[in-house]
Amino acid sequence: MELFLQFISNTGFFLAEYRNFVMIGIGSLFVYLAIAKEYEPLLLLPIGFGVLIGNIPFFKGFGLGIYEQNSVLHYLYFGVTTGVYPSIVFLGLGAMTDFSSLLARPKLMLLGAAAQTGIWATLLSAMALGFTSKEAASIAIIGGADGPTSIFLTAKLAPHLIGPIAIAAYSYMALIPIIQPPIMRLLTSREERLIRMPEPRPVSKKEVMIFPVVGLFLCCFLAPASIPLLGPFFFGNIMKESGVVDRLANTARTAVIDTATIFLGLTVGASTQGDVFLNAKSVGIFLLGAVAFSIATASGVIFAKIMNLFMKEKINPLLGAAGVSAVPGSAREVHLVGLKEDPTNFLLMHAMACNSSGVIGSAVCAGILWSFMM
Amino acid sequence: MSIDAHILKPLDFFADFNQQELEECAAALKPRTVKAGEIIIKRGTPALTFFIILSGTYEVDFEKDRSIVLEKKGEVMGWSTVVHPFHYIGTVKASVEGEVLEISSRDFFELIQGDNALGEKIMKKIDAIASERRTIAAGSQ
Repeated sequence: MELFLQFISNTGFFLAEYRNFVMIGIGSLFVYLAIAKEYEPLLLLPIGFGVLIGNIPFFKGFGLGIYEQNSVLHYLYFGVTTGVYPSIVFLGLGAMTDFSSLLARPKLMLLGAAAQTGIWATLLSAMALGFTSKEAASIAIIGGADGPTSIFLTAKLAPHLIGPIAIAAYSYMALIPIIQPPIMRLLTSREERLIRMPEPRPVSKKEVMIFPVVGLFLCCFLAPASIPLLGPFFFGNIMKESGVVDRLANTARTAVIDTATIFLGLTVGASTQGDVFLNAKSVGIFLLGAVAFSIATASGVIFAKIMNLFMKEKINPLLGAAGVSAVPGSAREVHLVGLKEDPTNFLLMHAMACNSSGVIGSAVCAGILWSFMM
Repeated sequence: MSIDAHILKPLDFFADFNQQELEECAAALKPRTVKAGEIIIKRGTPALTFFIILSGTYEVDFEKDRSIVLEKKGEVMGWSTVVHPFHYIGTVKASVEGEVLEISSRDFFELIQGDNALGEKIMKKIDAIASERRTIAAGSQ
């Protein structure tokens, strides 16, 4: 009988508390959305299942939990806390991104830079709300709408916040279709949304091959702390564009990035143990994340409108919303909002230019924040 | 499982694509066998997959009992995966067993991310098809 009671007391049913069930509910919702609605399944399924794994109650000290030394999950989580997975994801991203539309119209790069305003505005807001400067910087980077960059910076500055920040960043990336279109419509008139972009000029093979080298030097000399992200990113891109290592480029943009995404999603999900995750700080992070992301979207659109005051050839201001680095999600939303006004106005290629510059912009911002806060 | 680029070359949709573009498309498209009677697209549901016919006969039913039959190799189905209204406007049922090539909207946007110019080329082709199908669905033909 005593053994039986001991067994019972060691089961998850006995050890569970309400926070486990709340998190299991959230994890189940993510899994449901991924499978039943096919809503961002590549992100939501690993994260959602990770949340389920991380919130099964267990007897502390058995080396089972993600925060317990020597547990399997802890070893897998090492790739998050050291920033290894984000670097690998960036390698794959570089190997799958075409910068030709950006090179065809380099001025669109400014929109990618303008959208980073959300990061700096949120940094100040979070500090004003009582977060430490390192925590504030980690929260602010959510405005870049780049999950791997958010995880990378948080791992360096405020590792205790990785769970909520990663979940917030990925949630807002998944919520792009809900958050961005109303902001785009609110800040633009119908006439502005109807602006047609001219055909981009042809870009030579030589230009796309030189870009990763020039980009690497420009960005990493400006913010050397962005090397762990942008180094692999531009390396991935030169593998793609050079055409001499197609096999490697193909592996980087498929097997390599997929493997990193699996472990990144699963362990980030598992890091949301109810007792660590469900607190007032997490709520604050979610609210500030939404603010950061909204400001980023709005500032890109507003900056495009400001550019139009000085430019002879007008830019469709919707493109500014693609200055956040959620590739290709925000470019797709810009395209869709544009198409709703005029079914023959194709903004996708132009939005991709802003979107890819947003990836670089948020990584540079992360590098600058890291250098400042260390 | 991806397909060989030479499968795409004879299809109208890819007639003006160069070899590199064909290879990129071939890497993204996946073959799928469709059974007789199988419904591959359901009207009103979110458009998540785009199809290209390789063989078979497909009946497309729009609202108000309007319908068309697609059986020509290279014809496309599920164009609203990438253009407005982003949900299927017709139900597609295979009359006989056939084979299609499919690509999800996510893979399609990744294809665009990897080659902007190719993406634009495909988008414009799909837009032309969409206009035609919208007209049929609305009953103007």
